[in-house]
Amino acid sequence: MTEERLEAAMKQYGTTVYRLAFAQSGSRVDADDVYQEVFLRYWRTSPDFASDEHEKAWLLRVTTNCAHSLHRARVRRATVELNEAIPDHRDEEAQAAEELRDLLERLPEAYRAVIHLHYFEELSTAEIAQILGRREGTVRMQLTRARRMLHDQMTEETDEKEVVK
Amino acid sequence: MKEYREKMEKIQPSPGLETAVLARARAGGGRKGGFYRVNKLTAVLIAAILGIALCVGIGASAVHLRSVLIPGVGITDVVVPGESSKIWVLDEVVPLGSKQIDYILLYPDEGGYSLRVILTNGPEEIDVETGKYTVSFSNGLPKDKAKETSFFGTLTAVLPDGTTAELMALDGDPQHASGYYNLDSYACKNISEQTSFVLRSPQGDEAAVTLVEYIEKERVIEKSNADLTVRMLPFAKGSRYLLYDGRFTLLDEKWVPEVYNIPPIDEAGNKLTVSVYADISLGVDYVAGDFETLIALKQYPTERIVDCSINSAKIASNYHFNNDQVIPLPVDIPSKGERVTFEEPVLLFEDGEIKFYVESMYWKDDLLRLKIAYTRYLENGFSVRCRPMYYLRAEDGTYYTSEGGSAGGMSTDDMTKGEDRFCLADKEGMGETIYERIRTGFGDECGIYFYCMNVRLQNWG
Repeated sequence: MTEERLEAAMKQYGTTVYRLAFAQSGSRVDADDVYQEVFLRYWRTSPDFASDEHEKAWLLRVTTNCAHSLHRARVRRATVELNEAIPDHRDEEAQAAEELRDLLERLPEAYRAVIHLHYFEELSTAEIAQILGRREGTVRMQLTRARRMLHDQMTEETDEKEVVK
Repeated sequence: MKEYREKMEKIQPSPGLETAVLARARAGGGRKGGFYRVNKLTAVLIAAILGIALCVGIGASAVHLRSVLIPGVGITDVVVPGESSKIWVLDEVVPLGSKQIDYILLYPDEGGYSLRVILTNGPEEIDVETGKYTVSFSNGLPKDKAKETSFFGTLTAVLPDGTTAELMALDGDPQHASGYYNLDSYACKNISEQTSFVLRSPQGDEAAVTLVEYIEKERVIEKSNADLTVRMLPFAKGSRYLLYDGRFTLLDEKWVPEVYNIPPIDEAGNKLTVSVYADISLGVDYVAGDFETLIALKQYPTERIVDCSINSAKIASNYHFNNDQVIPLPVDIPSKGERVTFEEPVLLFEDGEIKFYVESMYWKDDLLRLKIAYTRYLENGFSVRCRPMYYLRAEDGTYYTSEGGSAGGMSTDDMTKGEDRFCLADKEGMGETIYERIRTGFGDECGIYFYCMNVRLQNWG
């Protein structure tokens, strides 16, 4: 494993890894940690892949496992992440992150990766099952339930009236 | 789902992540199999060594287990007094059938413990099957021709009370020469540092493990109202300590290469205790607090050495908030279902150079959420505007305030560093406070900056 290879992997898959980590954790700072852990594992294990698809699947798998370990190790507290809009051009991203976080925290942890991998990475349920180590039937069920929960959540929020003073 | 996609497309990795990974990789980011260097997920750090005789069911040799204590656990570094995780490193690998136990991790989890057993398969390649609780390994065959060979199928732990529990295969590294097995905490409630249990492969091979006493060198967290007092480990002469994720961590030379050139804390050889008080810190990359001694920190990526002591006293005296400060809410509370955003944020209060503004208010789940922004000027001239979130409950005159803070800022390297630390205080606004996280920024970079503020918003009835 060379630094060049590591760097190339981060450039090619870094955003994919980060977004999945964010989808699972709902937290940018946790996604930062998961990102680092994933690519440090990549560095340490120096895997050989048969194809780009294989490499991506490996990274997604490690990402979900790292995020899951994070979830298991954490003691749950009533907390909220502090959003920092630094600098101004990140306002839009910060808002998107906050809205996604609000959305994702309504879902059980196990469903978040499924939703993300299906609707964002556009993977099939079979591929998702392979990555997450679940049965395909389980993935389909989780997808259905997550969709229903998200739909209920979005319907509720559109009832809110915005006032600007 | 289109909305999900549109929002997620805006999410980008935080700046500096690639740099942090490369820096850590260059610093010797881990080794294969066996024992890893400081690693957030496994929270590996050696603090103490103890020997123990291990009786192996099938074999004859006694294996020594060194028990060590790792302050903190996991990526999030939940800071709870007294909690820690322990990892048992084997001086020799413990055979379990045709495989070997490399190390065992026991960490607090949901009121009990979780047990993780890490097995290695030597140099053979491994393919992790995605089926249920099964780890399969390809024994040296090319991956595209590898047949899944049942390795352990199900690894079983025979617990002290005689019950058995399956260990779930967790490994997500298909190419890695080890398998991770995790025993859920519900099955681990009878396991503690003094217990014995047996690990059994489906082939019936067994290894007996006894966890024995360990030496604690624990980081103690104390809280005093709005102060966060972190009492660090005593520093021993000649030791090197890594400022890692907000903690001073002992580096064991055997396991961790010399990466961070932090000089001995006290060159005269005295043992020292450092107390760090959480007050507002204006600058980046230094520790605010009341130090008994000077600490030099090495930072990534610019490798500056920062003098901490000069700034700390000044910061501590200027920006420590009064616990009993009561701030009347200057705006009307919105109705439920109404979200009020102020085009010009409304000044809530100011303290010296720092001003707090209310940007918006809305109800969510019976909590009135205020978006509060504050401005702070850094010593290097950067101005940072941050938005901590405060949850309040307005109910019969009672309320919750938030206690926590943010210390995001811009460094002169244009890297953003931030930390999130937020908790919900009790309804008096003080009392038990839980700090979710203290971190220095990305990875192993040095420089703690954090503050704690306890502001009680006036009851508006």
